[in-house]
Amino acid sequence: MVFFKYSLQDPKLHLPQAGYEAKVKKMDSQLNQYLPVLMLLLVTSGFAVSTLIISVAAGKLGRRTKTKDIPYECGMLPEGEGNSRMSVKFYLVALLFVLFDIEVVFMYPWAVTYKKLLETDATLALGGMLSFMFILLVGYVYALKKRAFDWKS
Amino acid sequence: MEHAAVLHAVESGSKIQDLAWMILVAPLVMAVGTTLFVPRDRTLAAVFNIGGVILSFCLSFVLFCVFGGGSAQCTPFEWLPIAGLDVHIGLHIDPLASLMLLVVTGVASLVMIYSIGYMHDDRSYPRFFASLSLFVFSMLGIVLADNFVMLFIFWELVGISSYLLIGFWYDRPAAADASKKAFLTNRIGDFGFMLGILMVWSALGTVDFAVAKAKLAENPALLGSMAGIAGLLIFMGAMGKSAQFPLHVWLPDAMEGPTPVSALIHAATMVAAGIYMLCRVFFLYTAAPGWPGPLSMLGDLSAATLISLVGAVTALLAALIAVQQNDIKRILAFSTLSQLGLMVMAVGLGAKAANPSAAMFHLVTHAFFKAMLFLGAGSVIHACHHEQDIWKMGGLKAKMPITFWTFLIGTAALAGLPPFSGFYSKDEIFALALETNPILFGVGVLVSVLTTFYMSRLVLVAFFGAARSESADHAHESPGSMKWPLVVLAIPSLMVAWLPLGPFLSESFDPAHPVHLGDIFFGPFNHNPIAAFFGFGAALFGFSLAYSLYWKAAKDPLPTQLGLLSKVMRNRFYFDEIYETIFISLHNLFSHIADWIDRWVISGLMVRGVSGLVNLSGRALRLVQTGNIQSYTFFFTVGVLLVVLLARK
Amino acid sequence: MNYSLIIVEITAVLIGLGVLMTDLWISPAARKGLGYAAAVAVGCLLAFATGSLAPQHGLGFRDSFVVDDLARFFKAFFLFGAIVVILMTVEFSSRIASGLSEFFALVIFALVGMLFAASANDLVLLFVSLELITVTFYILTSFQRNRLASLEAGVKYLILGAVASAFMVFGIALIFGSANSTNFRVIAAHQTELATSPVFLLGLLLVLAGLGFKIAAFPFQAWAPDVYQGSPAPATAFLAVGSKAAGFVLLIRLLTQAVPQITAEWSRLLVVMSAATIIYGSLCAIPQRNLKRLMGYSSIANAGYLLLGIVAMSRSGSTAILFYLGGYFFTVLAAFTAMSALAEHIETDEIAGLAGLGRRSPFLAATLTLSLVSLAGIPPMVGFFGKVLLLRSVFESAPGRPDLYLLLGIAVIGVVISLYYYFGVIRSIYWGGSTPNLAPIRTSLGTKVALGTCIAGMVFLGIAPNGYLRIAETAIGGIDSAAGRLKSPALKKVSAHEAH
Repeated sequence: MVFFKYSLQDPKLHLPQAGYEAKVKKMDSQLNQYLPVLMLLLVTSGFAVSTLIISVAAGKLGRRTKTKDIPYECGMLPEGEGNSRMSVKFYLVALLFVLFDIEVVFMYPWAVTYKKLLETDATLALGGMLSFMFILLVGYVYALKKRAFDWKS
Repeated sequence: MEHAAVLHAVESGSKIQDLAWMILVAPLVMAVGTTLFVPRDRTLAAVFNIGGVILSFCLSFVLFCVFGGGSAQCTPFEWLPIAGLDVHIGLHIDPLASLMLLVVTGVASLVMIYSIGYMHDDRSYPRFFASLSLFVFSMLGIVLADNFVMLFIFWELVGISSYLLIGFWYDRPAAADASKKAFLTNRIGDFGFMLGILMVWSALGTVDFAVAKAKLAENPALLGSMAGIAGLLIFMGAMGKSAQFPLHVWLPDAMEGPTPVSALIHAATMVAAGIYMLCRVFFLYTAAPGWPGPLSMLGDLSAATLISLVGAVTALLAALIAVQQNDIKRILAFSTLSQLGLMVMAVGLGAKAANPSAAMFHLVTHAFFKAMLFLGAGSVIHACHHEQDIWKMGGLKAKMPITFWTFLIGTAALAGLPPFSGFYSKDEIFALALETNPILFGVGVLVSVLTTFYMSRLVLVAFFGAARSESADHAHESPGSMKWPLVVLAIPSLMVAWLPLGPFLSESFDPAHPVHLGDIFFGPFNHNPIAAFFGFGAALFGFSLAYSLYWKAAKDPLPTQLGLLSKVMRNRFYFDEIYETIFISLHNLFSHIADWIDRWVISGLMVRGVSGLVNLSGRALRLVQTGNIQSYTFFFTVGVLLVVLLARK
Repeated sequence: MNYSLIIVEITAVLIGLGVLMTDLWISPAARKGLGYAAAVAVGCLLAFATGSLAPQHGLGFRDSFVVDDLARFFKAFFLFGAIVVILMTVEFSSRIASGLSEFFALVIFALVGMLFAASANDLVLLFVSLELITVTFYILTSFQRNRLASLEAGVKYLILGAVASAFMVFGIALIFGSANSTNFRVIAAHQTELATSPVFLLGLLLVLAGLGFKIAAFPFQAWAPDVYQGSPAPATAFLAVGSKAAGFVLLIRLLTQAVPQITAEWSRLLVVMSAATIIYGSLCAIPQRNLKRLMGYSSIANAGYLLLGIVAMSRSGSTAILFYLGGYFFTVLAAFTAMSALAEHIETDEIAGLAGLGRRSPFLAATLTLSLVSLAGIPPMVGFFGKVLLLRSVFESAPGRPDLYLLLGIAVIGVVISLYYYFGVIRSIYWGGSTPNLAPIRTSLGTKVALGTCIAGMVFLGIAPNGYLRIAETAIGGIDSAAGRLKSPALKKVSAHEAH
């Protein structure tokens, strides 16, 4: 029996080009470039925290009245409940919309590279997308049959 | 397989293998099947289990005929291939094993058929048969095992089935106590047995019989200074199972079990397992003797010699005790003890002649006639409405003729009268003793006199004279299922010794040493006249002594004549009492100390302390498990930091 | 490209979709039948996957997908597990208010993720397959929508799973950044150079954290008790068996196959993780009153024992993991199947609720007892042999690594503690206080068959472990030799040569 082995003689193995070690070293030095980002992070969070602390420490707690406690809404008096109720169907439809919408996003890069893909592996290029669409279709049929799009029921 | 060359070549290995496995497994299948599927159905349970054992018997017979004197080892699979300890589940078949298979399955079949009648009114009928099947399976396992570990496993299984069967009537306190006593006493022996196995393994590096034998044959001094101790420790196992002095105390009590159980387990087969085991590992005893430092004064005295002494002491003690027992089953029980002692003695003596066939020979004949005697006793007890005192019987000869005649044949065989089988096998032991150790020969003859004496006493008191109680008066012959096994058993009791078993058995040992077993009729008088005459004379003398004392006696005259001695004998030399005083009081002392240690040190300081600590830390750690998702996420992040920190060099 | 390599996975996807679609056109009453049909379909797939027609060895899809003995071993493992879980779900169906067919489909989709995980040879495939498993389990754990505990379990698993995935994907990004590849083979070929790169090491540790979450190893174990307690029993069982095994197959691939040299240097980390996991699981299990929560902690402790095999860093260690997982499989499935069968009759998950079970259903009581005895590691059950193998592998590696002796000691202490809490449950089954309800509990034939198989597996593997052990050894066979070959200097020349 032949076991699978990591044979480096295998011509199929995609090894990066020479100078790999130097690249690794370079990458490590790249980490240092992120130091300013870290500093920025510290400064911003420090600023936010310190402002809050200073405002509490320095500010005087004024008299609280009912009017003062009203949520600020562009100068208008707020109306109705803070969180209004909506039909649960709305979320379901919204979710399905987002879902199918996002799936379309996958097709853009595919479409862009389609010609190039055809050169390497035509079956994968078309077959992959077709099977992806098939699974989407199954999902669509499922949603349809479960009456997810049916607002009234 | 490094030991393949040692064995005789096996041509039809695979068929033999299948046959042997079927012999072994058939009773187990029936026991399990009965317990799982027909735990209530009396008829089916009996049919299944008896069928299973009879199947085993037939297959054993086929094996015996087809395979004859060959020897084979089949090791179909490895069980524990741990470095240095290769345990496989395998069977070893040789003349020794195939003969023993026949004895075990043959006696077991008859005893089980007998039980149909004897146990008829018992409500746990299926359980009884299932337990018997389980026992037969375990016993066959001992017979067929090809290595020490497997032998030990089946050894323990036999112990368990014996425990189950002695305590079969578990609602009787005496039976429950007896089963516990048997089990615990055997534990002592088994503990030594296990140590012995470990010792052999450490010295020889194998637990396989064939490999160990080959290694020892190559270099008899391989066991070195451990030879003596290892031999004796292994013998401890036999001491427990075969009830040798000083672990003999459990066997008489084991008679609390149903009589068929006494016949099968505590007379014919299980108690013989010790002898069989000694023969199986006989190569250990022919190795060069050796003792570790502190015991070096034992010098050339081999373990085998010590074993023969233990056997002789057991034989003599038990025979003396049997003389003054009145319970029919107890007499037979002590008689069994005494005969087992003779066999052990023969094994020990056999070491010098490099051949323990004499012991095996006696084992085989004894298995048949002792099983028959027990079944006969059961028949008597059954007829007398569970009366066991021989002084309350009498005159049974006319009322139960078949039981009487078969019992008489058994008695003659046990007493060693020619041409009954017992004569030949006993004679073999006497001849061996005469050649190797004249003192033990004397002991043997004395035991023989006593044996004939107490057996004649039993027969004269129970079967002759007038009925001494109401129940004996109303006695009648037992039903067919009980009668016929007796008749069938009478045949081998008479004739089994006529077969050329000796040369057959010798093939399992050292063929270089010729033996002269199995001479028909007056053969023994030719090759060793002194032994034969002494054996014959002892039987005649014992009988005439008994006749003069007990012919038409209304009560036992011996207590008045022997006085104190009789009382001592009747009370079994006070072994139970001595054990009770010494061991129990020691035990109580130790248990008080242990109790104190347990209460204050182990339980108080260690268990409560440790478990308290563990419990406390468990509770404390549980506080971390708040169920709060924010803190979980926090822990997760801290965990990542922890991992990075730990991975740093 | 060789598409036949993923034929098993494709079929599994089709079965899952088929279940989902069929449900749309059948009556609700026929859903149980659909479950049996799904089990049969997966059974056929199992027969195919273990047969000689299935792909045996191969590497494909830009080296990201590998089929070898290890992969095939785990594929069979997952397929078998899925069958039992589906059967268990049928038994449990009365407690799942709606969407029984969806439950079956989700189990099969999780199975697809596991099948891919068994073959993952690339960090991207590793991540995607793990996500497929985890996302399906988000739904499975919260499937009893009207039970607060189940919802809570789902939410907790979702949030913590997301955190773990975030760490993991960040780690993969770091690895890709430093190694220029996500492929295990490439990483393995360059591990000597990569071992000096802190970015790579950090990335690897983050991936390790993600896998640690899957197997519930300390310090990523916090989710396990809550999720185990809250989820429906079949989901918990699949989580305990499938998800954990998927984590371990990836750990074996990553740590002993891709980066064995680096793993060897992380001995301290792994020892501490293993020891802490054992101790944490064992100690926290003691005060538990809820059986499923107890099983959660038990699962943590078992992850610790399994880590012993990784710590050993040897062929026998990996073999021991495979063996232990096999035994754990039967044991846990038996326990959870028994629990699902009980769920209908005993209202509570509390251990005290088991009182009187010994009389109500001797069969279920015996099953539960046997599996607990096996978990406690008592011969002749398989748990004993698995623990022996794991401890032995550590012991063999111990010379020269003194901390391993300490780890062995801790593992043994953990075993002793585990006896305490497992036998607490057994005591409750047989000697628990009096219960008013002594009505006998009947079990369906399907459950009986599943339980019988599990018990037979537990006992058989414990008594005659050799056949299975040899399979495990074969499965591991390819791996160490690969790592060993990579260590040899001759190969470096080849790689240098090939680089041109």
